[in-house]
Amino acid sequence: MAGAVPGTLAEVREQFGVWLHENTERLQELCAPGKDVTATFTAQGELQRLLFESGWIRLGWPEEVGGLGGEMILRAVVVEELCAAGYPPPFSFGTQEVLGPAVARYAPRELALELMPRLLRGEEYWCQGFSEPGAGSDLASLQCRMVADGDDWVLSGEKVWTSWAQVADRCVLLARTGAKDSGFRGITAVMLDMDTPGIDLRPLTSMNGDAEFCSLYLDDVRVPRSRTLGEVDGGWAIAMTILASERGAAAWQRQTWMRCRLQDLLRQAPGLPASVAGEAFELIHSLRLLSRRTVHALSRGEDIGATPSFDKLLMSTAEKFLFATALEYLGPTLLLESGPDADAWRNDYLYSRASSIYGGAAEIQRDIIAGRILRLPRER
Amino acid sequence: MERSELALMREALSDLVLAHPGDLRAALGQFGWAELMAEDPAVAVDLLFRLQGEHLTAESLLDEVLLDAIPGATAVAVAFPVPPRTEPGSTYGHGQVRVQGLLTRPLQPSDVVLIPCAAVDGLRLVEVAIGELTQTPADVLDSRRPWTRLSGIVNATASTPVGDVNSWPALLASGRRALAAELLGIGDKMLTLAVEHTTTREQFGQKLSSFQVVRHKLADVRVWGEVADLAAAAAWEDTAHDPTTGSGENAMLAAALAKSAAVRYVATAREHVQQLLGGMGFSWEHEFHWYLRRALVLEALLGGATTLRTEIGASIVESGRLPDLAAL
Ligand SMILES: Cc1cc2nc3c(=O)[nH]c(=O)nc-3n(C[C@H](O)[C@H](O)[C@H](O)COP(=O)(O)OP(=O)(O)OC[C@H]3O[C@@H](n4cnc5c(N)ncnc54)[C@H](O)[C@@H]3O)c2cc1C
Repeated sequence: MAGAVPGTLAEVREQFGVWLHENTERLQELCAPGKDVTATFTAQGELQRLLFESGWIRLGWPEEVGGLGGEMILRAVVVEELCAAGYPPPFSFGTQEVLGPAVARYAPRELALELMPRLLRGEEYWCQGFSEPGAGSDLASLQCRMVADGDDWVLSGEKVWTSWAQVADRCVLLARTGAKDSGFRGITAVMLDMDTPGIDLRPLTSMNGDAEFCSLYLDDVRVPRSRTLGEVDGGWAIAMTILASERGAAAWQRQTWMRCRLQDLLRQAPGLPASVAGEAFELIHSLRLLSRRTVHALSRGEDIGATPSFDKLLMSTAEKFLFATALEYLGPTLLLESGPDADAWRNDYLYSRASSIYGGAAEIQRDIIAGRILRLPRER
Repeated sequence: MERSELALMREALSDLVLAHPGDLRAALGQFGWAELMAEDPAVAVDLLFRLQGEHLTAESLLDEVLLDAIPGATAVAVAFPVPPRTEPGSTYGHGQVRVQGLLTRPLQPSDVVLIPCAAVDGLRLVEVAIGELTQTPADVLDSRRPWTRLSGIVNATASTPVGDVNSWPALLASGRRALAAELLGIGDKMLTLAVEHTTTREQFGQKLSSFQVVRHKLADVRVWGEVADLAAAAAWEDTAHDPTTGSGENAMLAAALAKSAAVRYVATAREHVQQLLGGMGFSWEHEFHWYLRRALVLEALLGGATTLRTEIGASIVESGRLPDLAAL
């Protein structure tokens, strides 16, 4: 970024467009499909560093955590332009948007100042340790124990489906500090370093063939109490902030990506009927309208209430429709062929099946809308 | 318009709609709706048409909204393509105007009507006096609005051309924005009926609304309502009043998307709400069926789900690019 920090959406769009053009070669190199997980994450980290050093992904983050200030919405433009230029946002962008705001807000100041710039710069990758074998949709029933011992917490228990824990440097983890049956009131969030002794990490392969998740077995793992995020027993607020970001702001990135994939489909499936293309566009556009509203509200610091549940439902509806359409109209490509395009379609189709499960299953989103938005009473 | 001003305006219009079930058009004339339309068409259309939907008004100002998009028009009504068509069924050629259209109400022989017609050189808009044209009542399904079919042949010399090549798309867009708002009014009303019913009626010793299946059906209706609401608002974002400008195309597309979202909302509501009302919702006495009847006609008018999606899809399939709608 040469000269003054751009303050308006139009300025960001214009100046970033020029920058993208000047850095085409390097960007293409970094966005080429990686051979394995390590290579992919290394390239992502480098892309992140490039965008950090040039200032673009520092926009909209407070200066004290390594940002350049300005409204959060500025980064939504950067992601959109990046995607429109043919560089789909890597996982690390999603993670940043999901975990970053909660850590910036709830971590003790010193910790936030130390860790946030590393996240933004792509020096480290963070994972999210919420789900447990016994606690998925009913997250508030989680049982991973955390007890105080001097200046430390001592953690014991099990986490599951932790995406990319094997390459993560840190984990935002929820654990029970209250009584066993204390529900959402007895949960505390901590920042756990993944190289702490006592963490046994076992990889799980996801159905699209990626080494996406891990199981974490925690056996007397010590975490300094200075790594507590927010209040003791107040972890639910952090969980809700993170889930709202996952369902809301991250949906904006997903939507920019779905637009690119629909464009790819238009090119690669000449037999695609107009009515089907139109419906796919309509659904992606619906997600765009919802997440645009969420991004604006978050950027203005407004309370978004339960509305991210709308965004999450549309996200899975649009994504599943788009890739079911690809399955139907790409002929044998997705079913039988190999090569980069076929592999990508196959992977994206299979991954779309998870979109109504992660971040809170579709049924949970409907429960939230019925209870918190329609306010349907539950009593008999 | 300020939020408080908007609320006052909504209240005033709501009172007026309730007080004038039989002469809404005349009452709106006195109220100064035309001035509001000139000043802030988004507010004027959104407020009025939602109320038309909510209260199932016999009269509709859809004609006025469409005619507003055609400078110099003198007609008092439009002969709409007979649904489910979106392209005019009337034709212009061989010295004749052959009329096939749908009116929102019966007209007087001296009234002038706007006829969109297909001609060899594309679409034309002409104005003709009703005169000897045949008007047939068509209020068979939705009998609370005096839908009327118009047909017959007029000598081309007795017609006056209006508008230009961009007029028809502009008319369609105006009509779709208004119909989206009216459908939203209907969908919201249907949802309210279902929420009231399921939160009071008990079976198996509990409120119907405590069953998860019931809650999820209502949540689904609500989701599409939220989408339709945002799409209807977004359709006013780049309405250049001059449809010949570059942004005109986006405005047309946004209007089609708004109607398409509204159709999805109301179609989902029709299905789930009726189911949840049980036998009562199938009775003549319960008001639900009047909403269903009105919805079916309005959904099809100027394009139903498949037509709209085909139209939206055709534009992107052709260009291979997605339009930049709803910028941040
Ligand atoms: C690709 C992917 C990545 C993930 N990454 C992470 C991660 O990084 N970190 C993390 O902590 N977790 C992660 N998860 C886990 C995810 O959050 C859980 O899978 C999810 O919350 C559902 O929990 P569960 O799998 O235990 O299913 P369950 O809670 O057992 O539910 C199974 C199914 O039952 C139904 N159901 C459940 N509850 C209800 C209800 N109340 N009413 C009606 N139906 C219901 C739903 O259909 C649900 O899908 C990931 C999951 C996936 C698929």
